[in-house]
Amino acid sequence: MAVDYGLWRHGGPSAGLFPFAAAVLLLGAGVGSMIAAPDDAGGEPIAAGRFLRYGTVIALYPLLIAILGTLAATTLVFLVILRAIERQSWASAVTCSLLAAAGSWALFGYLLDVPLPRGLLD
Amino acid sequence: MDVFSGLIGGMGIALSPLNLLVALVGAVVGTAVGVLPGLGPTATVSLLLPISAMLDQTSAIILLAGIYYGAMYGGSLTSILMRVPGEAASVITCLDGYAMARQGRAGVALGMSAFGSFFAGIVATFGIALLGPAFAETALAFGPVEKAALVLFGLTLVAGIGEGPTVRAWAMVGLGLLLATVGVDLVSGEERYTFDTPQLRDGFNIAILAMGVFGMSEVLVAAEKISPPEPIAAVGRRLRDLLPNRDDWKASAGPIARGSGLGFLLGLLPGGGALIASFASYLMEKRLSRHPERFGKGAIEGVAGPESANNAAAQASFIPLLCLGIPSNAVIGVIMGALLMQGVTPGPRLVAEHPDLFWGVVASMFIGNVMLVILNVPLVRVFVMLLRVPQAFMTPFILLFCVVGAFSINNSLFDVSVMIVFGFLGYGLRRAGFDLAPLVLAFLLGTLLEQNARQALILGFGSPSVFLHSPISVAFLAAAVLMLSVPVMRRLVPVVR
Repeated sequence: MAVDYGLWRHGGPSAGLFPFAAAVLLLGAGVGSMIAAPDDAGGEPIAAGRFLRYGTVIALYPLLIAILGTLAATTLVFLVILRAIERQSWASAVTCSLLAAAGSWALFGYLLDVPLPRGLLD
Repeated sequence: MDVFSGLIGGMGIALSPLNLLVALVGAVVGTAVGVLPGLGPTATVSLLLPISAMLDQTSAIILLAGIYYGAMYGGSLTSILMRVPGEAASVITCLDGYAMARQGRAGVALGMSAFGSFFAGIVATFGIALLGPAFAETALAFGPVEKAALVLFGLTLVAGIGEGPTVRAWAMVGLGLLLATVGVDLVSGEERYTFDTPQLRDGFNIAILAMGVFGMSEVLVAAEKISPPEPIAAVGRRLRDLLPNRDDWKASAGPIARGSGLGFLLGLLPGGGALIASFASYLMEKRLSRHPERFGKGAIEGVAGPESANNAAAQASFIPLLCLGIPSNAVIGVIMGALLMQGVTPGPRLVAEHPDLFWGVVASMFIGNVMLVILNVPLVRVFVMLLRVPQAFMTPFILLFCVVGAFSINNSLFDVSVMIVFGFLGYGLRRAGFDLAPLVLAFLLGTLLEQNARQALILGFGSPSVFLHSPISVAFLAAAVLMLSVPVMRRLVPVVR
């Protein structure tokens, strides 16, 4: 793609020169990394189920905000994380979720005037 | 008017009840803005422009300046406690500040950050009063050719910042440079890697990238743990136990002094400022250290130097504005707008035509820095108590901070999604053994390098020899070649022997 943008035009560098140089560096160093330390990656095993649940919630968070609004989406995300993933009691999960949602709304939405999304109800 | 009588007169202005109040408001608001990720000083100063217009010119600039350097104090807080940079200039503090917090030394990191910022603020204020105009003229010697050479030299240092093999750091440099090219090419107007997505036309925001690869990846690292995360080492309850001890001071004195000087100089350069100063200071401290392997694992020098540098740079950037009428970064640009709204044209005649404004603002910087250290140090104990929050509760709060912070930069859910994507990317790279600091730094330097190098080549009619016509450029390029050749020479010498 960088080449398509053009590397050198009208006696000077074009839009593609720097992306091309960066890509060459990335490719060269990437290959070099694999040769230099091929088995260095990995590390300790991971809790795949827990990671998948967290990852799903995080990936869905912006979508939930767009649909439900920041307040409801934050409450829901906190509830799911604290109750379903972190196995906290219902009482502490509900209290913390409501406090986090209300607190973030009060600070950013009210005090700092950030127009936090209100969802499809807006 | 000489410097001494100017400062005395300025003190009289800055100590008036109204100016003391606006300095306090600026310091408090700035600290809060620094703590909250996303909402940076540029946006806040812009929001407060109408309020500043109601004040007289000196009070208005004292308020806006207080917000700017107050943000430098506050920005380190979430970097140290959560690995989420509250302000772009505190990105580098995530590396060692957070590691220190995990070792139960959050109070030391926060304390040293506040004291270092205070010292740097005082040094920079003296610098502005004594040397400002002269240095500002020197800064004009840095055109696109010199700046491109300086940034290129900086990139050769970046590879040394990361953990692990240098070749991996270079891979991250390549990725950072590539990410920096996303968006509309400022020279040709051509869109690059935007895939017809309007939100990508302005490229990626450094704060979004940093929040993603540092903050969000931290959430994902916590999510993957089979066993509960290692508890944070016990921390004392008394303020005295939390603050830096004699050894910490000994280790930090040099970095604070060097960071203050370096930050001051870089703050003078157009296009420079707090962000670059903090990175440059970190690189310098790591290079100078006898134990560079400690960096990234809780080296106090990695907090003291950058935090001093960003505050010194924030204040020094007022020199090109007040003495030359050149805004060196976006925040200063908005403050310049405030000056123009007040009917004051910044430039070489400002000190002579508006001495009350110049010396009043300089004197208020002393007062503002004293206020900030008084506000911040006693609060260290309160901030450190946040670390007692169990990880199960802390993780969703970091997530919330990142999401709301990313949204508030441009009020865009697209930015939130981009931040999350960067989080997964950062997590994957961490798992693969790559260090993320070179990526973020190269991203920052990439835009500067491309803009300046292309301008330089246009000035030189496409001939790279333009870089050899300036002695400053030649010096930086020679230093870059030296930096690249030293590791090669080190490998070759034993082979030859």
